[in-house]
Amino acid sequence: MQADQTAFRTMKDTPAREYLVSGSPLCPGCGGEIALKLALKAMGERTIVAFVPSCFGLLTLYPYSSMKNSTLFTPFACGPAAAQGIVDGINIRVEKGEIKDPRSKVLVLTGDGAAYDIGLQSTSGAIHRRLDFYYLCYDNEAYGNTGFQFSSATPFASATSTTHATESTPGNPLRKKDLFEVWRAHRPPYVATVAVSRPVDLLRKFEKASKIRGPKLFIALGVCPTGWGSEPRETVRVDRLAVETGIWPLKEAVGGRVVHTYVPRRRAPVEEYLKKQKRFQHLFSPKENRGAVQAIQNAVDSYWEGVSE
Amino acid sequence: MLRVRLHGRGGQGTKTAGSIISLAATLEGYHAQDSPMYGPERRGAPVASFVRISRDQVNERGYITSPDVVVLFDRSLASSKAVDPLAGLRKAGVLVANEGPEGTEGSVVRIDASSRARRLVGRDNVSAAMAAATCRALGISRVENVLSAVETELREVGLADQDVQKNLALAEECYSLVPALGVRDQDSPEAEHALAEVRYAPHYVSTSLIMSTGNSPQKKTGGWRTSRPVIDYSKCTNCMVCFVYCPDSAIHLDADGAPRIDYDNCKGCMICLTECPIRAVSEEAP
Repeated sequence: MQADQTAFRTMKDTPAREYLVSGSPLCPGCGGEIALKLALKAMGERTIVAFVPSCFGLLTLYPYSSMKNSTLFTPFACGPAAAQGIVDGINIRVEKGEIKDPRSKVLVLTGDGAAYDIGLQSTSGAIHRRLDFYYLCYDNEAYGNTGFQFSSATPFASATSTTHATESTPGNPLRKKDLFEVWRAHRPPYVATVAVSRPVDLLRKFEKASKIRGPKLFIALGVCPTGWGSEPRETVRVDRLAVETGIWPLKEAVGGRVVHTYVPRRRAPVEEYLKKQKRFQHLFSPKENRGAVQAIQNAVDSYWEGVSE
Repeated sequence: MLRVRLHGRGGQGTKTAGSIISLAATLEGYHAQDSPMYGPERRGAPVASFVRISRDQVNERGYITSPDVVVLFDRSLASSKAVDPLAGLRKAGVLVANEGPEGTEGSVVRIDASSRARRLVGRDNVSAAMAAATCRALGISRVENVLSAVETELREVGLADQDVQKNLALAEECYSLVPALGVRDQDSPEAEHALAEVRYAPHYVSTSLIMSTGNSPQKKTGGWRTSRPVIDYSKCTNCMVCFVYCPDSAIHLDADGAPRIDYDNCKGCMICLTECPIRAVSEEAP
């Protein structure tokens, strides 16, 4: 899309209307909540949200709801299957002539636990069937709602409540699963990563996706002060550092072709991001684990060496 | 059996304090059981935990509705109708409260654990302080066993060595400040509630349908705040940054495009202060 075709040029263009409202049970300074707030602003009122057990499952907790949209709570593995049901139901009502112009969008909202692990098969099925839906994963890189247990989205060396940092292991020994590529391998028409420190990029991606039929998939970095041990007030800063260090690349794939929507000109050293978070504290104190930090830096560098556009 | 109910806010160490008290009692040869309230609320939100201590095996389960002891971590909870920390406290029951001025009157023990924790540990987490004061007031555990319990439980939650040491000093100080009141325990079990019979109901009755969307502002999460962001309108340029980044949509734009903070629900994360490009947001008492 050409820049002149977008409604979002600067932060000033952020729609004033809120669909996510105050009073949620989420932690102060939740990064994923900002991502959802912005995504709903771009998607608008006629968005039906299907969501699964996760921190964001608490956004509707009887008798309260923190979204103005219609919502449907579904089992952990079934978000995209529920989306299929909603889409089919709307189509049947259109066929019967009960509604004329549905104009409804269906959004599956999950954390990384459902997106990377528990709900991956139903997502795979929905993409394969070319279901016309949106998927937003707010990725806080662990099972944050239950006490920050490791998930396959947990990055290398992160301490979680199930991957303790000990003398022999520096937290999580495994590397983060590349869900962007797993999804892209299904050849969806649109898949993107977003970060709240670049809100215009986020809004534009949802805007662009709205013109595409079929599966539209998003992974948002969800800075998690409670699980990551970062300061709630620094959420956007931590998010910005994830982008500026190159740890969280901002990209999209339209029809399978990957384009980076923001390339940090001079990547900040990964330490700047890691040091803001207690989950990586063991890499620096009581003594520095240079090997692990260097391994993280090398992985970032080798990723960007392979980036051509 | 001695029943202890702890009320605090998420992040203050309410759950950990329960575990410390329970372990300290166990080390003295008592049977003990502790559990936190299970709930979805987060850092800053009201939470509770429960400890039962007995010479015999503890078979009772669940939340404690008529405690012998209430431990209050945050004075602001006392006036909360939703929390009502003293609810069900037995006659001659003990209250251990985190507030100044310090001292003991009858069965009320006041200790300014927050100030002491900020001084000795550098942050307002009072799990070790409140647990030690409670153990002493109840006379259930000697200081060495309290310290051993503090060390075990704080290591369990992953505290670094130097922080464990600081908390041990804090616990020892708080233990020494409180007199041993001793509490007569009660033999009577908690009042039993009759089981309600749940009849089959169709889905539109039995499912928790929320017919009113976007109604959570009624919850008033402003009470979670530990800091209050205040906008200086003489500096504000209406740039919208705070509005865009407020996670809770607690900042809206008025008719002139100026940001207005909804203090009824602002949780005090202070992202607006950090992100304001011209530093027009200041931090004040909650």
